[in-house]
Amino acid sequence: MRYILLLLLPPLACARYQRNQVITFLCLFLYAASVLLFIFYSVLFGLAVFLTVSAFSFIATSNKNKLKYDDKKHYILPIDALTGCVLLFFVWSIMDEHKNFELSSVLQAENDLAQGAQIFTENCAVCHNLDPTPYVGPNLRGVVDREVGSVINYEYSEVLKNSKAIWSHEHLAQYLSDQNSLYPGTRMVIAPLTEQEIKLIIAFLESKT
Amino acid sequence: MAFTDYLSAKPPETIHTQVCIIGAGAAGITIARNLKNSERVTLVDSGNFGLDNRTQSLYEGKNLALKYFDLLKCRLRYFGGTTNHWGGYCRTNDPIDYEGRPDLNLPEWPVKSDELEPYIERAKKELGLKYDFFDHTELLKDKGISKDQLIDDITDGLQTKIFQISSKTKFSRIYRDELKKQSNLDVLLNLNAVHIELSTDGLNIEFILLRNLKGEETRIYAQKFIIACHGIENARLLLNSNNRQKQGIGNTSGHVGKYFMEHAHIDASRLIPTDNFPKFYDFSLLRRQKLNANISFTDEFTRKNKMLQYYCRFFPVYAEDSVLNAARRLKQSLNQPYSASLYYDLSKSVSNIQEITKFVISNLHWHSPTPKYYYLNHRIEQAPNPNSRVVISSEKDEVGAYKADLNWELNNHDYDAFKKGQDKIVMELSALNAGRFELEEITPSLVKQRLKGHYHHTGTTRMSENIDSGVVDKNCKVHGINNLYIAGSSVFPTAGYSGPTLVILALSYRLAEHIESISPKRT
Repeated sequence: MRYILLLLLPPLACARYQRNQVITFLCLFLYAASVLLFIFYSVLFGLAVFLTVSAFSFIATSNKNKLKYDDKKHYILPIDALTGCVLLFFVWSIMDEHKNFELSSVLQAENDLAQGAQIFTENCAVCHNLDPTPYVGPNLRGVVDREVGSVINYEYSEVLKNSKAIWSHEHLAQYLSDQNSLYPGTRMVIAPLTEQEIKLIIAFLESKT
Repeated sequence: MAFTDYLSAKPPETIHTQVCIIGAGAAGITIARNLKNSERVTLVDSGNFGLDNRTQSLYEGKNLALKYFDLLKCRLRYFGGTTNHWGGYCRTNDPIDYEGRPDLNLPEWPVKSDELEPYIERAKKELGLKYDFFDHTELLKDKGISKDQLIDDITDGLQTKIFQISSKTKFSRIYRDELKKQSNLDVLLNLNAVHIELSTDGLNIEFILLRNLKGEETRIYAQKFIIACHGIENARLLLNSNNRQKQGIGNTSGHVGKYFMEHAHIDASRLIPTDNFPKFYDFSLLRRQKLNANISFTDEFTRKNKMLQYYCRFFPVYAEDSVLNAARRLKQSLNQPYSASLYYDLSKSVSNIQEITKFVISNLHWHSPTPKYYYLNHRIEQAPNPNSRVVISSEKDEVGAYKADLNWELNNHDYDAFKKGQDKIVMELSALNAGRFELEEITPSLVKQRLKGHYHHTGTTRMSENIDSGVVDKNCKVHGINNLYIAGSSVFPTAGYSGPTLVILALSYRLAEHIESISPKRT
């Protein structure tokens, strides 16, 4: 039980079983930081910090001599309350997130990817592939956010070779809707696509990194 | 002798030559290379050495009936032609392909299998293919595969048909230097054939009008003309040249542009395999071994059941796309703030962890686990159908020629072949206890919905014994016209099982030999 508590609430454990106040507050701070990181920055980073603070509090409280419950510590209550608040905030944020989440949006994205794949096969795969074997056009794996004209060993037209631009979503969309006005002299040929189709192709290409 | 780009240089008013070949693709290049004894050969191509979007746009056309590839992109209009994206799959025709089968409207080939054989051998040698197409012993031995893995002997009516894969695919690169050195040859680039001028008596071609993208024109006069511009384009050129004969050149019996055929294919039904499934036919494994083998039927079975050629591929699915996408998204979203979709992806990935593991393992290429299921890919040759045809549009392209639209249609023989094929595959594999099938009934509407092609455009100027039933004779000469020949897959009377390129080359060798034999020799 104690270890579960330790894993879930490291600062609580530190507050109760650790005499050193600095370590206790540091633990609380890091614990709160891990929750904030998890929710607002990066899941992986948040988890890493949480595991670190857990390990840290485990080590800090595993010293036999200091393993005494000391109820005279007057700061235990506020620490308990603060830890509880962080936990509440965590649970509330996640619940909120789930409440606003619609599964249909994921299914929609899934559907879009399948459609994008279809459009890619019909319109692009004649000349472009997704692996490095040479074909008529350059390999399109990872084309989103790649520099224009940057596939090694592919002989680009001058205008693409000399361009320093990045294939951002907007740039790709512009190119796919009218390649000649964006890069006059490009050899790429494509039949007119609707705006929606272009969006789906780009989403598909983005998933293939 | 030289390559001349007539977009940067102004073309002369007239060009005189002995043999004029329009189109430098697989057929055109092969013919030009084999006319070494002719006085003067001129090879004309619409493009240059690379894809150019203005030239390629001359291929624009609409699909009027069945859904098909965009006509703008399913063939390539520059030196080397469609070999520039050819996969290199080669196989000769089966004996049954040459037979006429009136109950399926399949005409007999005027050229017999044994007549074509020496040319097939030449083409094979040229493409570096060393194995026999019907006896796989050598090929399998070299790949280290036991012959027992084939199901030919343990089933009734099934036959394994294996394509050989040539590494000599891009003709533009392979033959460019050779053609440059050939002293009797001129290659003219960036000139589009827009019109064929017939003599007043209608028996000879006088000249072909060529135009570049700037609108500059030249007329090419020759003793012999060969059109080798690709399936749809050959028909378009003949139909567009209608100033002397209203219906177009070579079209007195109305066959030009008709019988457009593809190797149609659809995905339908699944097989959940047992250990008895012959793993040799797993298409991912085959691909990894650089093999292309398919389960098809013996000629006797096909003949007896009055069906078109059919073959089947088995594509393994280790994990559903949605599961793989969830895992992929999970990987990406781990480094982002928490979202509920992460939870969704995580639960989906965890609950399908076995499938994902199998997928990852299969991608590592050292072991292939049993897939969740195989989806069946059914492929057929298409029966000639006069309604499946090239239609001349009312719109013109940039060089002023009417565009060609495509009205691709299937008929009941085609739907039937899909159905009978699936039934037979299911019967034989079930007898082997190869797995449990989740069947979909193949109906015309299902076929129409899932239909795909292969970029194999055949049949639009078909070969026939006499003028009533086709466009060209057995020497590929247009019926009724003395000096016009057609090369390429458009002369095939039937599409057959195999991809067209090897037979295109064989017919091109034969045509070149024929032209040499009737032309005055170079001194």
